[in-house]
Amino acid sequence: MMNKITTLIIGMMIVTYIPRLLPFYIIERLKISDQVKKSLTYIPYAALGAMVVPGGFQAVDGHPVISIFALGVAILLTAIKENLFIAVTGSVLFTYICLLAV
Amino acid sequence: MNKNSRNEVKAGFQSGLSIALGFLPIAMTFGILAKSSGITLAQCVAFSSIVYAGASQFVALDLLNTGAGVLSIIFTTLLFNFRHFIMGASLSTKLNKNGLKWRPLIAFWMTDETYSIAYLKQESVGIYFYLPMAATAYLSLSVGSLLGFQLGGILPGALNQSMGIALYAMFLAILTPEFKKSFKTIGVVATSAILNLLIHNIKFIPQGWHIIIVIVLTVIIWNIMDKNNKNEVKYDE
Repeated sequence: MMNKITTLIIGMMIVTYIPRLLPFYIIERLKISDQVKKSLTYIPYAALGAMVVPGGFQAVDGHPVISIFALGVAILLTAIKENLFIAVTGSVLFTYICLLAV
Repeated sequence: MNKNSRNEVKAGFQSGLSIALGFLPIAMTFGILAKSSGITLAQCVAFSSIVYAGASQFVALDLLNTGAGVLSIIFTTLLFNFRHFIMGASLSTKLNKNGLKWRPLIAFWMTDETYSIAYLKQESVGIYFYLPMAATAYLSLSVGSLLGFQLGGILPGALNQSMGIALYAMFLAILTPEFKKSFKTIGVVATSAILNLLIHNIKFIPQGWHIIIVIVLTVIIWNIMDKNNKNEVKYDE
């Protein structure tokens, strides 16, 4: 018995997994030029820029100013000590304190 | 396992926890929305554990509620996930030898977050770091969905709301050290950020296409810049 949701889950699994899996098997078979290799190194930065802006400004629902300051806290903490977990928890704590204060 | 790999595993779990902190409130929201959409607990957890697609899970719920057909939801998911093809291509060039036979799992667990950390935090991507990190992230989405479905919003409102900053804080914490290494990075990030702001205002482009269009355009723009600069100064290499 396949209902609508089960079909949907299987279908979504396929279209999610294939784009993730395929490049791991085809890239090594292609002879990629240095130009393309260099392009690939830009991808994480391009992806991260688009993931942070503008979404990050609305990260704390209804509080764009707190959001922006909290992002600043993450940058500041990273500049002091390069540790993801410290930066993330610090930024969440900062946001929490701000929310309690407003 | 030698001392070096043990340190990798530890660092992996620690990075995974940072992701989990960001995933938990998202996953719990998903669980709550899933319940109100009338799907079962098993189906809700299956979305997070079998599909494991983050944003497109929300889109799927939204489309289900508006009565969209299965095929159109699947097609929308494909559009949303096409960016992972590009990320996978770039991650696969950094995979070290011991990772080869784990590719099916590495790919299944590749999200925007695990990709960004693995690619930028690691000289070469190996399983001792990647698998604990990605497993922690993966479990947090499933566990969070389960908690949200069963218990609703158990976290105090302000705490739940403040955890919304976690993923963005993480993205910036990944980027900041890169900014110090090269000025060009700032340029690339700024380019994609500006393009993404612009594309948000173009109504006829479906949201699922935004990120992939922005990534491709940014890469093209910087390739053109590189070509133009080829015969000039080379200090930024």
